[in-house]
Amino acid sequence: MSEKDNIIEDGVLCTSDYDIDGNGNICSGKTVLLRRDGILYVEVGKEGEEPIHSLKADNIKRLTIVSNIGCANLEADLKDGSSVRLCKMTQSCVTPLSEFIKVINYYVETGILTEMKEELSRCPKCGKPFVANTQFCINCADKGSIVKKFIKLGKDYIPAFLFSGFLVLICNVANLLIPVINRNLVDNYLFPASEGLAPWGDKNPYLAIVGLVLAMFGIYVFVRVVNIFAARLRNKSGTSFMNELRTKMYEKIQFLSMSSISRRTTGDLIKRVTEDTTVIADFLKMETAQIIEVGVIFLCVSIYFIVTRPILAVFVFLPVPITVFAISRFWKFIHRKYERQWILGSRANGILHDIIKGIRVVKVFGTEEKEIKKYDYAAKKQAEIQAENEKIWAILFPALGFVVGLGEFLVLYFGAWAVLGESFMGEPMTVGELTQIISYTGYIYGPLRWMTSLPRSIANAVTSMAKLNEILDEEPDIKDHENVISPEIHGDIEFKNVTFGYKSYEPVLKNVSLKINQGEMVGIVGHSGVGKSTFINLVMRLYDVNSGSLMIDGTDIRDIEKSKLNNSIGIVFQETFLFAGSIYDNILYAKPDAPPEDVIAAAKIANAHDFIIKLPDAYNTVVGEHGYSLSGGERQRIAIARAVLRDPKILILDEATASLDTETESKIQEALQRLTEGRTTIAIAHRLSTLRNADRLIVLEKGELAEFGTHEELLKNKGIYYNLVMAQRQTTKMASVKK
Amino acid sequence: MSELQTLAEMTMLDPSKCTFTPTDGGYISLKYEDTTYERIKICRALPYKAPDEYICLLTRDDKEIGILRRLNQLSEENQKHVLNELSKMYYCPTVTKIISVKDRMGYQYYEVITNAGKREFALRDASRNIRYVSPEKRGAVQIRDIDGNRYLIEDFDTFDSQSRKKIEAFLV
Ligand SMILES: Nc1ncnc2c1ncn2[C@@H]1O[C@H](COP(=O)(O)OP(=O)(O)OP(=O)(O)O)[C@@H](O)[C@H]1O
Ligand SMILES: [Mg+2]
Repeated sequence: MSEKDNIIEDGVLCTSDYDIDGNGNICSGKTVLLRRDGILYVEVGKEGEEPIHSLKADNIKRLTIVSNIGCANLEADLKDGSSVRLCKMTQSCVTPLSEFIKVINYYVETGILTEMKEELSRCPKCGKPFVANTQFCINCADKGSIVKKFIKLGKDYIPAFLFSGFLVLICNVANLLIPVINRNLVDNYLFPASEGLAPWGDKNPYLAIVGLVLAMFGIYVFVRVVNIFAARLRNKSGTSFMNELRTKMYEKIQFLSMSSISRRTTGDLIKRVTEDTTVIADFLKMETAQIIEVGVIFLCVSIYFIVTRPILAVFVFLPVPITVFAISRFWKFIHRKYERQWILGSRANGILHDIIKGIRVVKVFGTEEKEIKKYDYAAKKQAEIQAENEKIWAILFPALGFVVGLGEFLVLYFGAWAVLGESFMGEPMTVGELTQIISYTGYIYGPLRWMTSLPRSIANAVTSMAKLNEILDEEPDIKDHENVISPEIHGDIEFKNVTFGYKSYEPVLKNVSLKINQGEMVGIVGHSGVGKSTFINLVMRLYDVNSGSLMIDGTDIRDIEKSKLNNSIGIVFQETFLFAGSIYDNILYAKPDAPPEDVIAAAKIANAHDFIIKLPDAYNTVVGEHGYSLSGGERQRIAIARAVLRDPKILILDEATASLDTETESKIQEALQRLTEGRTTIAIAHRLSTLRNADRLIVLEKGELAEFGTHEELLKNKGIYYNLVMAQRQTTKMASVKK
Repeated sequence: MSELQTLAEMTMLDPSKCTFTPTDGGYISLKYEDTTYERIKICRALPYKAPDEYICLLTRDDKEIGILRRLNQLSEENQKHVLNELSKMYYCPTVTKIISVKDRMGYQYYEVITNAGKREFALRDASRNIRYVSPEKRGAVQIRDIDGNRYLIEDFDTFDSQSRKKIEAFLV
């Protein structure tokens, strides 16, 4: 008995919130368990007002939260047989409130009061709601800049890019020398010559001119050659980086849990692996060199201007803030647009994938036209937004270019004043200096113009990075924690108050407790959609339970190394899936190091050997994607062989023989029976005769464990199983009468 | 009735024979012809396309009593009771304005004003959880948050334009 029960004092024991009032408006309501005059009450009402409901706890039989659409109701079943709806809440209140009702239900059942487990529904730091069923606040979580992350990912390629950047830098510095030579040429040789002056004395000016021109040519050639080399280096590393990203993405996707994979479409994932990685690689190949180039030129030329001609510098840099301002204004807007372009692309991809996968259904229903339209529409939508985005650039880019170009005119104009000796321009300027300045202005404005298009490539690249990051950053919700153990698995399976739903607010299995012993064969029966496949998904740990625990050999399944668990379980899924490849490879998939004898033995047990050797290519027959070239039953038998080959400690058969005639089925069963001696087998079947060898049967009803026992026990019980058996007998009888 | 409907043994209820009564505990019961069904369940077959048509009535343990073709065939009193029950089963406040949308690690935080008051919620995979209700891709838009709450924008075309800009990128 807990401490609290001994305190006879009056007062509030625990509370929880609800948030919709009788009129459907948001309110702040409370459900309270309190003691008044020594009697326990459950009261429900708005804060600071008289309670709407006040029930004596001892009159309550059970409290339940009934999930509806977009909301839930708290309902009370009373001991006198009546029921009351107490309050209504949004889904966000369900988790904390369910802790509240646990306390009361436990009290009602046992007379013991326990402490309420405090499930915070809002982050204590920022007050924003947590993600359902977690204590995870997105708002306060470490944001970790995406770009930083990618730099870390690409750290092997950084030296190559740095070296390439260094080469680009040298080229640019060399490029900056050309106007200097040019100026020398003009001021020292050409200009004096045209004026009839000859400051070079007797020396041959032509030699000097040839020398200067050759120097320019040399620089020119050097710059080209080095640039080509640098570009090749970047291309090579960019492509390798892309490949590495792709592999990483692919690996990551393999390790993600079922729940996060099924949240996305296949087309979406494929797009991320193939296209987004390309975008990033292209960005690295094209734009990194440019960024260095712009940096170097900008820096050198700025220094030159500021030191020698500060007044002209003002004109040169006048358009810069305007451009930067315009770009930053557009940035946010453009970013969203590119996100939308991405989403539409992914949608079109998804549709394409869907249609190709379901082509048989399309053909059978003759809806090719409709599907073409559907894809057409999606593709058109994508093209539209792409065109729209391009249009924005087509207008913005030249407009900014124009603004930038204005600076060039100003420089020319005021430069001419300086050459003419206007004193406000400072020292008089030579013609050679003017040509140099004009060249430099061009040097600056070229990149500046390019910079106006930079946000677009950055927008593209960042969108792709964000999409990749979404996957790379995702913590697989099912993974080994640090202290997992790797025991030999024997096959005891125990469910302890397991509750699970694919969406946490829609439980599929509710409070299931049972124990399956090692070596037992257990059948699961129940209506379609009741949660049979879900049950075995939990045993295979494709999903983790929401509450309660699942023990294998007495160890929590979350403490067992995942690969160990996987290796101990063999499964035949309800939807048979064969990979594109030969029958042999498909069976071997379960255990790549198995010798051919074992593969054939497995096929024999699965009763597949006979039909396989009748095929012209026997075991080497290539089954196409999804194995469509085989019949449904043939595919199932290959899947059984695959599971058998693994020689598992726990064998799971989800409607594994549903597509087979009863004779083949019983042949397989006999063979399996020998195999499964001493192993735990869980079999799901609608055809009850399939389960006649089962030691015990689990009957699921409305997500709960309704019955569990041997065939005879359940028949004696005259419960759900009894009815199922009777119903099936009826139909078999009917069938035999018809014959 | 089509042959298919006859074969399916579909019971279309006669609205004039239905009498709904609210119960003390806050539930609803139905008297149809001579039978009284306590604590019935009511659900919409086409919640978006035709929210007030094809209303399915089920008994307390999920056996179908029948389908009501149109809600407005009932007397006003009865309609009121049915709508009242439906309002307990379906909750989907109408968004009138989106105050802010913030991106955080693949989740999005929304702050919105609804007809039921101000709400804050988070969602994931915006392009899947914000979508047009009808396949024609216009009109009403539904938002589903991470907890399973739903919100409705009644008509996206006439929605507040500042708010519209915040989410139109995700609507495809
Ligand atoms: N990946 C999923 N995401 C969301 N809900 C799911 C998912 N898989 C199954 N469900 C739902 O969970 C419930 C139980 O499904 P489950 O596949 O376990 O049924 P089952 O008992 O195996 O049925 P059947 O006999 O038809 O195979 C169903 O209501 C189904 O709609
Ligand atoms: Mg199933």
